[in-house]
Amino acid sequence: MDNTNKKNLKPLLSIKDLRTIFQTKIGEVVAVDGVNIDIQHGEILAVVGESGCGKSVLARSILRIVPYPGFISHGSIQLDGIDILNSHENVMNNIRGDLISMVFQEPMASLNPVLTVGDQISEILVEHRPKLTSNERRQKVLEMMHTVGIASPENRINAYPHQLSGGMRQRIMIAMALICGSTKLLIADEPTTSLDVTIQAQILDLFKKLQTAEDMSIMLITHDLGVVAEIADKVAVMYAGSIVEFSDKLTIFKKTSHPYTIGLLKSLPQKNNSSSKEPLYTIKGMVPSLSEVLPGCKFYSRCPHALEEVCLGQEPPFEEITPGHWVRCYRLNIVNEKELSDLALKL
Amino acid sequence: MNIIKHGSQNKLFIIGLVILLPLFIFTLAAPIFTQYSPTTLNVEMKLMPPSLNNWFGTDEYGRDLFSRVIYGSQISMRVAAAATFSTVVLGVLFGSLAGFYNLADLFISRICDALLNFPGLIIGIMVMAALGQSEINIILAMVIMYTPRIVRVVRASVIEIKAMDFIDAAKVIGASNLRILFFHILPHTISPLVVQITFGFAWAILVESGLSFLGLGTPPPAPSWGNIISDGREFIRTAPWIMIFPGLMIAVAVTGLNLIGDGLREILDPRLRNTSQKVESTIG
Repeated sequence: MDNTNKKNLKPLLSIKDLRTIFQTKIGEVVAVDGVNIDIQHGEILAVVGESGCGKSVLARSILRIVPYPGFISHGSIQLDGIDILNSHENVMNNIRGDLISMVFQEPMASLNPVLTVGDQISEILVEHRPKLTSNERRQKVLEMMHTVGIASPENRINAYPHQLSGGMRQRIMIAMALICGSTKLLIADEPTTSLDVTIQAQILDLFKKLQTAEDMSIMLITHDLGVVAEIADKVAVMYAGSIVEFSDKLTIFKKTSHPYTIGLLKSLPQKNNSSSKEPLYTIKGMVPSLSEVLPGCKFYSRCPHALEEVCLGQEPPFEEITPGHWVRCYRLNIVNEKELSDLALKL
Repeated sequence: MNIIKHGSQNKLFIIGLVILLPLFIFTLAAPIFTQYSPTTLNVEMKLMPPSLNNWFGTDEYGRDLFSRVIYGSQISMRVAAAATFSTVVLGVLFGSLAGFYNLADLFISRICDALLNFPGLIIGIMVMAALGQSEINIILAMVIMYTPRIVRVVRASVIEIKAMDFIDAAKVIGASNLRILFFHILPHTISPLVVQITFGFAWAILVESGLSFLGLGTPPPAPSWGNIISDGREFIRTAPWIMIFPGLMIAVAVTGLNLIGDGLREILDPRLRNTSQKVESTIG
C-alpha cells in the first residue's frame, strides 16, 4: 500500500500479492488470493472474517508453516528487510519464535501434555539463546511467567498443562511467544475464542500491555468484532481469501463501506433494544467454497447491492477511497445511505 | 523425584519389584547362594528329589538343580536384556524415522512387514542353522524377530503425535525437525514402548527357553532355564522337579516383568496419574 511511502515510514511487515494454494484431489483451493497488507511498527492489526475465509492460512503463510498440501505459489513477504519467502529453512527456524511468534486458538492442544510448562517455555531459550545456563533460563522463565500474570510462578513452573486452567494455559502460550524478548511481530490466531468472557478481557488487556511494553506489532486474527473494537488499531476485513476492506478501526466502524463489512456489523446483537422482536440480521448464503473460481466480485452471490452487469466479470480493484481507507467494491456509491445511518445508530 | 514418588504409590509396580528384586539379587550373586557348581557331575547323586542338601533336587548327572537354575537365570537374563536393549535401540531409531519421514517409511515398513510374516521360531532356526549355536546368535535371532514390533509401535505413535497442534506450535517457536522428534514426539512413545519393552523382555526369556528346549539355544553344559527343562523332559514321570523348578522361575520372572511394565506405564504417563494434586488456578 502506498500510504506507508507517503509517511516515509518503512512497515515492519509487508505482504505483497500473496497467494497460498492447496493442491487437493478436487482441484486447486486458493486459500489466500492476492493479499497485500502492511503492518507498521507498534501497531495492532486485526484480521476479521468468517470461518474459512483464509485468515489462519494467511497467518501460517507468514511463518511458512502452511500444512501439506498447501504451498505459497507467489507473492513476497518482507519482515524488516528479511525476505521471508526466499529464506533458507534454517534462517526461518531462527526467525520463528524469536522475531515472529504465534499464539494459537486452543491453548490445550498447543501445549505438549507430557512436558512441564516450564520446560516448554525454556525450550525456546534453548533453541534461540543457546549461551544461557540452565539457571539463567529458569530465572528468565520465572520472570516471564510473572510478566504474563501467573501468580506464584515457582509453583507453576513444574506443572503439566492439564493441571492449569484455560486462561493460565493461554498465558503460558503468550509467555512462550515472548520469552526471547526480541519479538517484533506476534501473530495471535483467535487467542481468546476458547476462553470465557472475563478471561478474554484479561488476556486482551495483557496483549495491549505487552504490546506497549515490548514495542512490538500484533496481528490479531479473530471473528469477534468486540475484540476488534477493544484493542485493534487497524482492521483488515477478509472475504474468501481476499482483503475487501482495510482501514483504521474508527473508519471501519463509522464509515463502513464494503457491503460485507456492513453485513458483519449489522449482524451483531444489539444491546440497547432487547425489546425489539426483529430477528437478528444475517448475511444470506454461505462463504463460497474456495475451490470455486468466481468471476468478478467474490461477494456477488450474497451482496444485497449486486448488479450483474457491473459486479460480474473483472474482480473489483482494491481502491483507496479516502486516505488510508481501502475498499474492494464497484458499488460503493450505491451502498444504501439508510443502511449506514441504521448502522451508526446501532453502534 | 516425581517419578520416585509416583512409583512408591503404584501397587502393580511395587508388587512386580518385590517379585523381581530377589530374583535379580540371586542371579547377580549366584556364587554366594549356591553350595555346588552347576556343572560338576556326581553320578551317585543322580535324580535325587528335593532335600535339605539339594533344595531343588538333582538331575540325571547328579548336578545340583538349585545351582543350575540360579546360574541359568544369569544366562537367561543376560540374553533377554541384551536382546531387549538392542531391539529397543533399533526399534526406536527406525520407528521414529519411519513415522517422521514418509520416504523412510516406505522402505522400513515394507521390510518390517516382510519380517513379521515369518513365524518367530523359523527365524530362530534359520539364524541358528546359518550361524551356529551361540549366545550372540540367539540375541541376533531375537532382535530380528522383535525389532519390527517395536518399529510398528513407535511409528504408530509418532504418526499420531506428529499431527497434533502442539507440534505446529513447536514449529512456530523455531524448533528443528530433530528437536521436534526427540523432545516433543518421543516422550509420547514411552508409555506404549515401556509396555513393549517389559513384554519383550518376558518374551525373550520365553524364546530363549523355547530355543534351548529345541536344542537350538544355549549350548550345554552351560545351564539356561530352557535347556534344563529340555534335559528334564525325559524324566517328567520319575523326576518332575527337574522341569518344575525352572518352569516356575520362568513364570515368576515373566509375571514380575509384566507387573512392572503395567506399573511403569501408569507412572510414566502424566495423563494416567491421579489428578488429586491438580494445581489450583488463580484466574478461573
